[in-house]
Amino acid sequence: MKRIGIDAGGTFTDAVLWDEETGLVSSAKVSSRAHDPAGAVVAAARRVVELAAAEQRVGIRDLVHGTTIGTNLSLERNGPRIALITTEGFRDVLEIGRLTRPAHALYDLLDPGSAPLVARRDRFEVGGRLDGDGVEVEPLDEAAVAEIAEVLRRRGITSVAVSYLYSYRDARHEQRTAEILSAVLPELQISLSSEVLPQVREFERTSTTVLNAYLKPVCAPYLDELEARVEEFDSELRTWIMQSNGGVTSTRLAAETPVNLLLSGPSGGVVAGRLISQQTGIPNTITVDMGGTSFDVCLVAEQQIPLTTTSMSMDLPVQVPTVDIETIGTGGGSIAHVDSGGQFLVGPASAGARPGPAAYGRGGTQPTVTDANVVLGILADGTLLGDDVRIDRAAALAACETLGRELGLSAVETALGIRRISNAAMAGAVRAVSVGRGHDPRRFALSAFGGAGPMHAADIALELAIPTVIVPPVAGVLSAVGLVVSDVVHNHAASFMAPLGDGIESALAQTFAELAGKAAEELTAEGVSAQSFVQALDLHYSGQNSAITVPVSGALTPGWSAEVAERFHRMHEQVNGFRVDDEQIDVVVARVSGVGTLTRTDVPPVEITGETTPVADGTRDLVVSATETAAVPRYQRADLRPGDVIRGAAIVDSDNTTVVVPPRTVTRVDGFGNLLMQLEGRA
Amino acid sequence: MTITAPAPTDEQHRAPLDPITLSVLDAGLRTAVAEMKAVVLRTAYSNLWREAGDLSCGLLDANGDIVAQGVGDIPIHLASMPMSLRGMLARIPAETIRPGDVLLQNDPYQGNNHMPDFFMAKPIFADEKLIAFAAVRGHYVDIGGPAPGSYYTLAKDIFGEGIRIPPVRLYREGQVVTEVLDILTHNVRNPQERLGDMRSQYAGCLAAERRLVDYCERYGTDVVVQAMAQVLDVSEQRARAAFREIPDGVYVFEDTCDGDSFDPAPITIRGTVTVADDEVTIDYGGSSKQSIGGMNSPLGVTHSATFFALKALAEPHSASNSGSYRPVTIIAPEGTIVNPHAPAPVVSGNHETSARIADVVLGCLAQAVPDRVPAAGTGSATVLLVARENVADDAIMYEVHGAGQGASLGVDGAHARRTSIGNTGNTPNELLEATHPVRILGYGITTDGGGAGRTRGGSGITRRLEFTEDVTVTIVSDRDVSRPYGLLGGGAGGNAHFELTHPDGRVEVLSSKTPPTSFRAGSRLTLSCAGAGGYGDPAQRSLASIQADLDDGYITAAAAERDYGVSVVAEPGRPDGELVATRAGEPVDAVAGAIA
Repeated sequence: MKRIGIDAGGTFTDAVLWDEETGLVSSAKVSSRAHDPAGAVVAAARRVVELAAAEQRVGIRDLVHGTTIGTNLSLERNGPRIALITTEGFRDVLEIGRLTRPAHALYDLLDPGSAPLVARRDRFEVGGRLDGDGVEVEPLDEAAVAEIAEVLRRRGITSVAVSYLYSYRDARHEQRTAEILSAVLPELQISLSSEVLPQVREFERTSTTVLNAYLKPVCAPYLDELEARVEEFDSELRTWIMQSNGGVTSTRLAAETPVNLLLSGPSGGVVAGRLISQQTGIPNTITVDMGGTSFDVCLVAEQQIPLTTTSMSMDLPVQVPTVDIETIGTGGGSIAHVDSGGQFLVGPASAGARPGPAAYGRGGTQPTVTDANVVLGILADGTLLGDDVRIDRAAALAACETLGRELGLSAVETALGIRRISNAAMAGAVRAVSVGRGHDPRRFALSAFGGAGPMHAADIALELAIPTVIVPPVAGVLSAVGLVVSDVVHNHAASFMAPLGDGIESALAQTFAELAGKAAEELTAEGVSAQSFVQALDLHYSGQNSAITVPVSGALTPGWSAEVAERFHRMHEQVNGFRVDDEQIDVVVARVSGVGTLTRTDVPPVEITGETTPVADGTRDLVVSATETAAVPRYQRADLRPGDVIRGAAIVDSDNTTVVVPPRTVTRVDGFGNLLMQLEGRA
Repeated sequence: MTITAPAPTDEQHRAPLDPITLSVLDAGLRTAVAEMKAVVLRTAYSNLWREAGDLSCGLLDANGDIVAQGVGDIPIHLASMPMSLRGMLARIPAETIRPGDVLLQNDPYQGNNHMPDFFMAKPIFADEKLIAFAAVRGHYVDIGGPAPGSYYTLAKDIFGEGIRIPPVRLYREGQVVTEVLDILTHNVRNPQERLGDMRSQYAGCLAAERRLVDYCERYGTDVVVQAMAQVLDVSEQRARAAFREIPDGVYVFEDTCDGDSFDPAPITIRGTVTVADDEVTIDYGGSSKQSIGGMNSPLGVTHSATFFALKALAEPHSASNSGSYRPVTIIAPEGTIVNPHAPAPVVSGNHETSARIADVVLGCLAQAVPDRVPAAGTGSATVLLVARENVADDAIMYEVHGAGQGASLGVDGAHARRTSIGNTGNTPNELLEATHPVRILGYGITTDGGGAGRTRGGSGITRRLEFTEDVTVTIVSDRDVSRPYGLLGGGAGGNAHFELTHPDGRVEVLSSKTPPTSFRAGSRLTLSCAGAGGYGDPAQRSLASIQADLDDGYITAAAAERDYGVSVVAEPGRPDGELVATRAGEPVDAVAGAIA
């Protein structure tokens, strides 16, 4: 069985054709189309199939798509006018938020923050109130809802969020509201907080629901169109959409809760990281993806995709489960400069793609991380990037020289400095997701991808004593590979407030069963029969509020709570540095993930019979210190074969990136084509 | 007592680090504090910490200078950290401190803020040398005294404001000093919650310590110590560069607070700011004498508020540390509201008087650089405390409401945005109702709260709530008499207002300094914080902006006519609302229906 993975980015749409028996069949890159993204997806699919041999073009069953449509809308803030309906007295909760100003504006008295996503005139209040237990204290004012429907019609508003107090306890007021609105406006798109995020805390529940309502009018038609065009291209193909949680879903469910698509794009990379982990047998990896403007880090311990419920979009909290990716603004385009206090800094300003680094010759004059790599010889003078950029070392050198004058450093020292400062910033981000959360980075391997990741990965690893760096093959289309090996995943959660202990089994089992039922229903509707369910509880010490999600395996047989409690104490100690054994533990949320298996991921490796030595296709002069240059062997990635071993420093070039291999490294090519660098002679 | 910095040691005069290592370690130090703060927030117990974030983290060098601080920390907690630490070191000499010791204090007369803000500092050793302190200042929801929540604004001295802990060791060489802990837990309400918060403070200090020791092992202790010194130097240079951009001159400004729980007479803060090249002096001479009630601002608070205002004006986007304060001299006469004699009470000065101090400094500088200074913000934390009557160890509701941003040259002030010296957030209404004897009837933006102007001030918050049991209520706010100033012709922000409806229907207007008072179940309170000032002549405000405010209900038709001189007419059937603002000579259709 074969699958197509399509990862749509801002500039390129990447595609892979994958055979679950043999792995990668072909890969392709086409230009993205801002005004016809679905067209680009189909074009990429067509291209990748054409590139495959004729006999390989059969048995293609699924098309899995990672989309940035939600992300783009949130970045450009050019979505539709939407409305919000709240409990009487609470329409301003969305604008008040948590009251605080963000850290970056703490001392900025002039920054007004962003305007509320729903204008106040479009935020409506309705009488009707539940208490904290979900008991109705005041009936829903149905006439008010009907009047609002008329106003929405007059204003031409097509999407509305409904978020009432305590709707996570009882959804009936919200559901009744939806019925009344639909009766008047059958085409109205309605997002209910009791469906999008049935959890306590009215602001976060409302903001997540509002974002859903904001994305829906754009995402839903896109997904409809995509489905139709894929059908037209190949009626045998099923279309799947990657969600923020690292699992895929049908286009229909994706269109209903598009707030789950905000991190659709980057999720594929993390799933690919898990695949690499499975292939190499290294259970703990940290994926780093460095491009032109940012550096994304994700820690994948025990091959588990980490999820968070505290991400932000458009300055609003999004509390649906989202792959826990930490992003910092260090990329190839980050500009080095000296600030008013005389300090040497890299970023946060970026030269972006235009004018880009000085070495691109598009008018950039300030030195960037890419320029430093050019000056140091990592990116060779004259290298052609894409169709129209040729690396100009003289320009990079001049830029570094100008900055160096301010610092009393030579151009080469400046370039070395830019690399050290940016590597330290990236190492800091890796440290934050590992050490900062109680993980020892020395027990992890670093998986590096993105155009610039493999140029910096070894230095980052050395800084944190990470022993191994993995650079996968096809690093340039890796996210698309992640798409084709992903499962269908549906996360469901319910508030469940009780002290952890024996005696809550029956209620908890019922809640788990209900949640699993919802997930099973979705999986079944999607035609997925291979279903499994993972249970977990959000727990904290009684009195705390930041919960830790602790897995709960199988049936709740005697002793279960003691086992879960011990697991919680251990995780609390790992993450926060202490445990309190005699403190009561409270359950706050019950979670079930329904996982549907779509494909096998156990492609067998090429058998390696012995160690082979690849032939270098030349040398590259690398600047290694202010005064020294070393000629290191240069290899072409395309020439490397499973079983090849490189000892010592090297440069490995490919179409889309350059791998920097430091001295005292043993680099092997495994049976899947991954480069495994053992640093500092660690074996 | 006087609190002074120790003389620089030889270590500070070592050869400078190369700029690259410095940059790497500077980022590293800030990462360490960010990690520290994350641990405290994750493990805290009280709503005030875990939900509202009323705490701050700092890394201080061995001299007591603050080198790095947590992301989004509360400004009023920070600049006084060095004073709090030096207050500790004056009693517990550095040479007696051993690895594993942890110091604690909350004494406003030994360098602390008000007493609820407990300051914990853990010395960090590397190569057997004391090189730094990890410190967390957090607001303990109760520290004893006559009233739950320890905002006893009828106290005439600090002894009535709760338990005062002078600098002590809470841990001695890794072992908790049980006697000290017992004294604390026997003098506060809900000690279990205090212990939880204290544990999170300690966990945060440990996280920072681990990180710093790690850096010392990697880069060498001397290098790390040198980096801390140079980080301060860099900040000093940045601050000097920024001060040079402000025209030299002497600028005077005065503003008031609305009395205390004993005396409604206005309390004046007078500031004289002298800018001379790259140095700034602020003299508070001419300010009111210290107050009887708790509106006094202890010296640490006065310093924090002053530094906040200067930093906000001069270099709001760069890292904040003691270095940026070196070019600043503060003159705060003893016995005045900005530097009271012990044992004057201080509980409210921390966020009320301090906000006015910041307003005054900015008011001075508005004369020098009017395009960079906003009109006054809400200027008060507007704290509401609610506790059940006669319930031991009850969780105490402590909720901040002061929010509303001053208008400035280019933009309207944002509604409901915290400004100035505080950044404590709110607690979700669903959690307030779950924990406290309240039913929230409404939580919204105050209508007509913002000052008029070419750009409009932000409105504050109005909360309406009903008490479901008999309760003790305390209000610590301001600006119910005076108003946040506008600039360059802009109007002042609207007053704060507090109104209680008793179960029998009787309506009572409460003061912004309502001391702990009993109210019966079924009473309803409407609480509005002040709005913020406007900027520029209201007559110059665009009709489209006025119309947008009308459509959004931020302003009423009456206010539009009164403040902006427009005529408001009804146009039934208009989709965005039937009120239409018109101004002689301006076409209506240019604005009708427009969303700003």
